[in-house]
Amino acid sequence: MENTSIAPLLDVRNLATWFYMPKNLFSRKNDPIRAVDRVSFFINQKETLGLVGESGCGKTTLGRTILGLETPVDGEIIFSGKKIAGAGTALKAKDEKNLRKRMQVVFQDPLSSLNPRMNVMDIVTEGLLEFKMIKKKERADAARRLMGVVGLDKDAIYRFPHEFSGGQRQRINVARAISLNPKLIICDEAVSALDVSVQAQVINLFSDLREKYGLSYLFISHDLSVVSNIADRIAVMYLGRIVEQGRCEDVIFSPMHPYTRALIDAVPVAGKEKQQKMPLSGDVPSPLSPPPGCTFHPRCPKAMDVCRKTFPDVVSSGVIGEHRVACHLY
Amino acid sequence: MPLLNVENLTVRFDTDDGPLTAVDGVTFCLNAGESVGLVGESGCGKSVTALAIARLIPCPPGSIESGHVYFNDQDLLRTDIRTLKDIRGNQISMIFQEPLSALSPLLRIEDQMIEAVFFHRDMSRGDARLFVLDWLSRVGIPDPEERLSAYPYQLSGGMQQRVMIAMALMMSPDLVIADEPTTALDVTTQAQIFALLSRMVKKRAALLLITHDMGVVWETCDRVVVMYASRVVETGGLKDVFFRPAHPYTRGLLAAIPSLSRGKARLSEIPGQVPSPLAYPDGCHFMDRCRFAFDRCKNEKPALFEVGEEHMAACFLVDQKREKSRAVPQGRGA
Repeated sequence: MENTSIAPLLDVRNLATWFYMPKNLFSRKNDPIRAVDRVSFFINQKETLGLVGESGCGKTTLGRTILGLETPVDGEIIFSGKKIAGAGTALKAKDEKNLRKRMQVVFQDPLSSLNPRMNVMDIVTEGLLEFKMIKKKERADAARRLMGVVGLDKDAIYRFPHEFSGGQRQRINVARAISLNPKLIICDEAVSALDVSVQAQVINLFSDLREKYGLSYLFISHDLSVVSNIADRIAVMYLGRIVEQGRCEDVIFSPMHPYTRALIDAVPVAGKEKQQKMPLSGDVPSPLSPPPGCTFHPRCPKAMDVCRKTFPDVVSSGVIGEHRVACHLY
Repeated sequence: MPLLNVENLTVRFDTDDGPLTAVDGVTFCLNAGESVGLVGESGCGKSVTALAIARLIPCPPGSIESGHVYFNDQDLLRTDIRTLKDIRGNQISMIFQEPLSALSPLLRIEDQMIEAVFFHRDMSRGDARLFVLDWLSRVGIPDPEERLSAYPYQLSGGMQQRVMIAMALMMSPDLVIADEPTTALDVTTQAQIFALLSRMVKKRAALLLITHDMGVVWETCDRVVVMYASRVVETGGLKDVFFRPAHPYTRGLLAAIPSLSRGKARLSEIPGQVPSPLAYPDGCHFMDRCRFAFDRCKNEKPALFEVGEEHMAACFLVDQKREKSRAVPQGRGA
């Protein structure tokens, strides 16, 4: 780590979020779905962590837990040196509200995350009014300023979400997220619904805002190419666990975990010399009945006996600098 | 003689906001055994083109205004419906984006596959069952016997798409049209499905792959047709289009793709946004976003001009560059 003396902005330790299926007549046992299981990572100030994984791996649940929208069953979350979730934390309503100011979110679907009955000015200044950061008569000015920051027409503040295109709507979402000057923005598949040419615009907007306001991002996406473009560090998730994390270049160019390798291999790259690929066999197992041992072993080309029995520990595995992997191979 | 020859295809839809042209004079062709990628962003008309080829456009509100779709020298737009039904599923088959909505939720895999067999072949039920079973195992479905009695919702997305592929291939068609076959799937499953498509389809039939993903085209196709806002803007061999793109849109699109090898270099953007199909500009549809736009782009629709051998682009810059070469009439594709 470069700045060992400075505490990370977000420190997640051994976090676990489980869901219990409702009991009914037919289910005898009530095993939890371990959507997020013993996950540890950190995000430094002004740093972007890319969180990659396939659908159902728990990346969205992890994001929601950090936002306080889900309650973890174990582990702790420390944000700006203050414990915000975990055993023994009972946040006061006021503290929880203040947390919103410093941690914001941008969701995948830009239309459904905007209230169709509110005009853009009301949408982007609602937070500012709630926290009494502006007076009511200042809201048009504040809205115009925010629209300018995200590259939208300043005179469009009285228009409604349906009047904008997908890329513009996502810019409105970004404007709302940055309105309170947050430290951390969680982007949950924030560019996945956009077409390539517009996607590039929004990715560049995220990069610009990071420079301008010193933001940190947790950038959640299934698209490794997008993540590799914006992230300083990458964490790869599979079935509720982080299987590998490290600096972007390390993870992309010298992946250690067989799953990360398969993910990278599976991305079609235009213009690259075609090579014979070995796609992973099988599907992601159901999180309701994950395989014993390492959850990746049924699809792993290098699975050994030990993989079928115990889940590899991240700490005891090979650690090269910041590059951590949970795999028995190391 | 190409297997499929789409000439000047124009499709319109009547909407509440007025008529819109979804496909405007699209022209391209596909040879037997060839794989062609039809790429473009959402709303550019690529799926409508595919549906129009199989004459699956709901009319009304849609209508095929003009053009020809020659398949083995037969104009599909002008054949009677009985001949067409015999061609669909038999000589031309389709793989759709959402396997779960393309498969009937009420029928077991066995019943819906056999239904398709009975439609085109004279076979006893027992033979048809064996035939279908054989195809399920060919597309890599584990325990095919067991899966036969499953309903579509009981299969994973990747397995559903494999069933679709088996159904598309089992009548040995000459042409398979795959409309975003992996968009609903995860990356690792996507890689499996494309490996299967390359292995199974490309040996047996010609493939028209409709996708928004340039990477997928690169790995699967021989030629590419790029569409933008209802028109074909560029067409050519894979290497020509990827390494020597001639149309400013193709260039912008290729530069905007984030790539693993590119690292954290800033992505190049195409400024602005796709115009609404209700209000396309008069001349070139890309004009408002184009750095090079000049007077001629405003008023005149660019024809496909020859860039190189079998490489064409609908841009007046190409015409300017090669003053002497005459515009290739839109009627004949690459």
